[in-house]
Amino acid sequence: MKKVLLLLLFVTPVLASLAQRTITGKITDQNGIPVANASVAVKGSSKGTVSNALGDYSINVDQKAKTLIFSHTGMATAEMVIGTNDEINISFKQVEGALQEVVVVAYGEQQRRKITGAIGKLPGSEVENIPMSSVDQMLQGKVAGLQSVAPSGQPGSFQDIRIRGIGSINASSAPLFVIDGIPVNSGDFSGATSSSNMLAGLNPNDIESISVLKDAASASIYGSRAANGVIIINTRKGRAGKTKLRVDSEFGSNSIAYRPSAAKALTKSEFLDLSKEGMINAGYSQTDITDLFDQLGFNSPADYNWLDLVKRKGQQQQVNFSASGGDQRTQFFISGGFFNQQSMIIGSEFKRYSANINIKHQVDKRLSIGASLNLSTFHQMGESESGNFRNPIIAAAGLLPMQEAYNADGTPNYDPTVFTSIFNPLATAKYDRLGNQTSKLLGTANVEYKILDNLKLSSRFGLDYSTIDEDLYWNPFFGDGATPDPSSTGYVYNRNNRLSNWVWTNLAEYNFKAWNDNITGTVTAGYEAQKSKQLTLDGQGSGLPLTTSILYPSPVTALTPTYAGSDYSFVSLLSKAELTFFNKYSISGSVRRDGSSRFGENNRYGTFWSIGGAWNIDQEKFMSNISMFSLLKLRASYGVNGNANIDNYQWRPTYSYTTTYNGLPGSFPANVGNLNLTWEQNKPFDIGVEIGLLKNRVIIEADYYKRKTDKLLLDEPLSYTSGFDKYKNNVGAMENKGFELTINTTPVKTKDFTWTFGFNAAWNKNKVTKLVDGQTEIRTLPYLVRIGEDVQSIFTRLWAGADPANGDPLWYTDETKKQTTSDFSKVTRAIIGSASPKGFGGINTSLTYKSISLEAQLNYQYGNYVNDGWGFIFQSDGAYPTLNQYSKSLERWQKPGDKTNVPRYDFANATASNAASTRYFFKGDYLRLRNVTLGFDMPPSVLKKLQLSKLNFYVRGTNIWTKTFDKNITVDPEQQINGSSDLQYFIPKSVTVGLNIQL
Amino acid sequence: MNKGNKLKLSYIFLPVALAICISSCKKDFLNQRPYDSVSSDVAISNEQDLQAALSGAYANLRSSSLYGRDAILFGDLVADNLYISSNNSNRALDMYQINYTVTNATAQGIWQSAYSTILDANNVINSKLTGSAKIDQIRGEALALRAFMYSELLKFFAKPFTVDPNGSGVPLVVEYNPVLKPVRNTTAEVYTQIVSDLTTAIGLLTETKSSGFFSKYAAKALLARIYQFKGDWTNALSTAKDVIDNGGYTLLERDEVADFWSNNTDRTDRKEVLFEVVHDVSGNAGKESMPYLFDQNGYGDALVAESFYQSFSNTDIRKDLITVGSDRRGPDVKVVAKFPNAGSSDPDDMKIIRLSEVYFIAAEAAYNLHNEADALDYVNAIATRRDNLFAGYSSTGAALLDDILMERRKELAFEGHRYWDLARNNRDVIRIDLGNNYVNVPLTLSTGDFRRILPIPQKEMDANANLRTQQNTGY
Repeated sequence: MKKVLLLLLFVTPVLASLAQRTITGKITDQNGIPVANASVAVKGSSKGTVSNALGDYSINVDQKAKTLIFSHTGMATAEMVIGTNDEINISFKQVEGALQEVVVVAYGEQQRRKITGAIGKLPGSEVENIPMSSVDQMLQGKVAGLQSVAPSGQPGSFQDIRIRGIGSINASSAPLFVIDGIPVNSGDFSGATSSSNMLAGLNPNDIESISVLKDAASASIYGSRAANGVIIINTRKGRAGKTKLRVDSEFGSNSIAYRPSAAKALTKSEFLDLSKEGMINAGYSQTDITDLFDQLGFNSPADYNWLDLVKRKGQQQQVNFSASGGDQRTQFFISGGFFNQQSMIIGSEFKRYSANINIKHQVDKRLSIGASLNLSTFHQMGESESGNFRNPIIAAAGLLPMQEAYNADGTPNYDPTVFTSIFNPLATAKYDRLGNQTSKLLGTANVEYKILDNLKLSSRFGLDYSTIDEDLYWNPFFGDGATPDPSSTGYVYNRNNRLSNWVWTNLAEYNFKAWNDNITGTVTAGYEAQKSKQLTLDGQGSGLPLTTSILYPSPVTALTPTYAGSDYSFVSLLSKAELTFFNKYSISGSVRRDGSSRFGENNRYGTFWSIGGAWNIDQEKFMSNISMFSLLKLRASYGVNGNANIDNYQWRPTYSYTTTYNGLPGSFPANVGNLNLTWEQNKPFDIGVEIGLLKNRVIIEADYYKRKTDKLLLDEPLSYTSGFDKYKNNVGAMENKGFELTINTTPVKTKDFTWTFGFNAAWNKNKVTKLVDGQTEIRTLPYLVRIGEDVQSIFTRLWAGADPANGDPLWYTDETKKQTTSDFSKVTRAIIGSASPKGFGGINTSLTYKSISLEAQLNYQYGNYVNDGWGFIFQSDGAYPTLNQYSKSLERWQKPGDKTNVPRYDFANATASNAASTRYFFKGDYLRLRNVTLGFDMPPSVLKKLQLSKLNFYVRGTNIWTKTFDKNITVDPEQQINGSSDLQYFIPKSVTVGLNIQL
Repeated sequence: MNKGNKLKLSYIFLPVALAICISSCKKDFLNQRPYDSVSSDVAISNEQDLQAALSGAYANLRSSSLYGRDAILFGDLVADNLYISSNNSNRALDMYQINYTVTNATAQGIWQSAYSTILDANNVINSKLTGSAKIDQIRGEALALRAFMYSELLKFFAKPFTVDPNGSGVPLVVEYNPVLKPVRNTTAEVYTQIVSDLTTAIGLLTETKSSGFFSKYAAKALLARIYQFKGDWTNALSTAKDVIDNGGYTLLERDEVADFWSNNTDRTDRKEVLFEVVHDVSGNAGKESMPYLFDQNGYGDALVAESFYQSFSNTDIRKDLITVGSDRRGPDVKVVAKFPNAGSSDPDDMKIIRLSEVYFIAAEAAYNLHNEADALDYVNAIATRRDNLFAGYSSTGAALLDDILMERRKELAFEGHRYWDLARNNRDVIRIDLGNNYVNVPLTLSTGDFRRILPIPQKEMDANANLRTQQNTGY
């Protein structure tokens, strides 16, 4: 019997083959472009194949086969009857509708219908030709639940991003950026530069797509680095067909986006009147006042508006060129770009040159290879920010109109008797220098081999290399570098930081179908290794030649250069699977096992997983009569992922050798370490619904999420008797929960006129649930981390204005606000709110009439507080009497009965009225017109004559209107994540005009 | 094209081979090592490592919280030798105004730095290395250092043994355990450990490297001081005598005084200094040093109390160690000139224990043992060496003790001793004539005042729940 079976097994295929014929053909899309990887199946059988890069297929069918089914993601499935002809060619039609589109997901792409996770996605076109230096800035208001804010308006500076709230206290809450498959080193790796952004090395015009992975099902496959979300960016690739040439060019100017009237500097007469009043209040006689005016230089004839002096019309310019195309076997994309942004403040600018090359080549039916190379170099210039005397922003606010800006010969005046504290920013800009040249290479090489038609092996090696050269020069004559001693006057600092980060990913992907194609699935498994190495060399010196014309002067006193390094590595095994039943039910799962050098020997490996499910309800039979829903999809996911975003080597108990005693080398215990140190563990739950109404004229996507983070990496205080004060430990927990809503509609769509309108909104609530045992709060005033409260709670005194009787400052004694006092020692602090917004998002609309289009995006945020970190100086009631004050100071109390928020102005005020209090906190609610663009597309008839495929002209306004809701606000409402303003450069308002031509 | 349909095994081999390679070195791959430090478990594995770890412990002593500034300055500023000019840089006002709270930075600095040094010493003491005279010497020095640190902690944070021997001392930690939350041992228990450490050290120490390191006789001198603080006069006298008679150290003569104080390096000639903390070009306390607080080209905030200056006779060579007048603070102010190298890149070393102090210990001990003749001999040995016209003391009874303490105050001025003399003798601090700088400055600190000792730092309480009920009374 066995033998018979065996025989049958061998014979059957032979018999079958005898009855077989081979059908071949070409699969193209509606434009005639070959479609690769389209599936070709015999209806009613499990037999199938896929097309190659040329769109060719070949399939053996038996005589019984009647019909071939052609399918491909994003295309309408087609059936073709097998006739007598052995060649069947087919032209696919693209499917309308959101659920058919293909979305870039972790380690691959997926049809939107089958996706079980919460993914925000943006096509590259959304980040094209925006007058911003890095793509992270452009994400603001685009994706529900993604908060993107600019701590500084300096071109090329760092952008803060949080996805679904803040997930960490002592570790970073920033998301992971994955560019072309490489988890890159993102953030700020500069040393002296005020703020620099590694992502500014990527030309946004080279981006093809952005996917924001927000939940477990979409992100957990990134394991120990997925807790705070993942942003996947893929750069542009070529497509077979006629070579497309494209040029984008724009220019424009930058000015200040928002300057509240309360923060305007006083004019000369306003300041002098106020000072005189303050001196009288402080009990000075008329003669004293005259003397004091003389001493303080208030009688100088000069009259300047310092903001006007440091302001300019900042130029904005970019040119991008690209060529893409290829034949059936080789496709390419090549681009070059130039981007230049000048701040509206003197001395600050950003210039980037970039190039991108992407090549894909099909060696044969099974083997394909590809490479991408993204190169850029940018130069960033700008002064130190915050309270530095060299900061032009502090100068604009604090220098007096009477301080003489210029010498008789027109050069900037830097006389230290005139500029006793804050330096003349004109002189600093002229004689000092702080800049960095950052060059970046992002390259990948990959190879793909199909062992079977449905089993693919791929290997990709990626390199993310950056080098940052910083150059700081402080002149020997005045300012920070100057000393009376010629052997130590002037200062130079140079720093070279190199980061090389390689990632090697090996994947196997298996696609299968079963049960008459009612079950389809994909299983991916792989191995990934990554290593990042950072080497920093810096040197400094003082005692410079007494000239400012030498670019790199040799210092008399050169301090020993230092060399430092910091490395990390990851190894991972990863797998994911996705199964779809009847094209209706999808389930997904992922498992990743990560090992990282950042964690302790005992806890170096962790396993992260997710499960997700999606139900396309609109595909159910019972829905077929309900025509209103063009799509209705329910999805949910849960899983575990981690946050490994802490400094390297923290787990290691170490001895350092950076000391000597009496000429002998010394060592000492430097770090407690923690052999059990491991990642923060995040457990996100997400449930979402995607609804399409009226043939997708209305698309709604809503998500509820709750993510609990525990094992928070906290600095646990140690008893000093141990010889240490703290160590990193996995304690503490918090949760974020919230709701996200995205609605996109097309209210009008006619032949000539289309109106779209949409918005996204997110509401997040954060709560700290656990800290170190015995610890109930961590104070970093004015912030407070307290169990049961928001992680960014603001803890400060409650300001009650000026006492109408005498103008003394008044505070509430406590949070009950029942009693006020002028006695500062009786004032207690209370939680007044949070620096995190209750809600934020964006509203967008577009109107297209024939060739003319108008687009707009309005971003908003509300429910948070922002802080003027320097209000205590510029609204000081006379405590800083020799610095200019905000015009808000004019509202001061003057006589009994005056009801005002601003106390009496006393020269050299010592009432503590300017101590931190709610007086310097403002409602952070705002609306900002992020983008408004008026565009004109040349009609096809004209294009034909010009032999162009596209010509578009536009005028674009960026950040051109801002509305705030606190009349006392003294700062731009868009601040860093913690809401604190630190005298940073102003966020720009840009107006640009541009031209886009495609051949 | 058809060739491509066949499985090309060769294509797969390459990645598979590479993957195996990476997997095999996976363990090492994740073992990234820092560039500027070594793992603690291998940091002390031979004699050289042990020496480096010991040097690290000594280096800690230079911190501005310890013998860079605060631990010395306190002894003179909280007493009646110094005052802070009203024209000041806001430094040391807490000590001057005798105004400490649980968050006081000086108290936290001393507590933290002392225990950090104890950790360094513990790791040397507890290392597994043994078997050579060199290792014994290193371990002996570490033991002496640990004893020294505990004796200093007791001074600042515990009531004097002579006042309350079984009162709360400080937590005794003799082994590294970062998560330990220890309670306070009694003062007597801590002294027992100190005496035991010093006794062991004396048995191990064979080398006298220089005044910058602990040696056998430096440890003995410290032990004599410990007995003095305990009021154990018999042992104090015998140990002090041992140092004086057998140590081979010679007293500083009058004509050597100026050179002695202007010298900024450690000594090997056994002249006067038994142990000092070396501040050299690398790792000194810089602007946060005590000499910089005296130097009128530095901060120059701390000045000499007029009455103290006037107590020196004109023929007393030590009067030359105080200069008159400052460009910044007036022609009459008195400026400490004992540490003239504050502005140098190699500043002054800080004397911890010197032979003159041992003479005073012997004198005080002899007095307390009712041997007034010996007491006079010891105190006059110093007094007559400083003032060539002084015939010597001849007082008896309580007056003799006052003379010993006054002579001691003059000799050890600005070296951090005065307040502790008053403390262990349970006397009030009475400040007179502080240059009219009296704002918020108490003129007495009487024996019952809780501010006689510092508070246990708040941060220690926060981290160590077991200590929360053990705060010093009054804080």
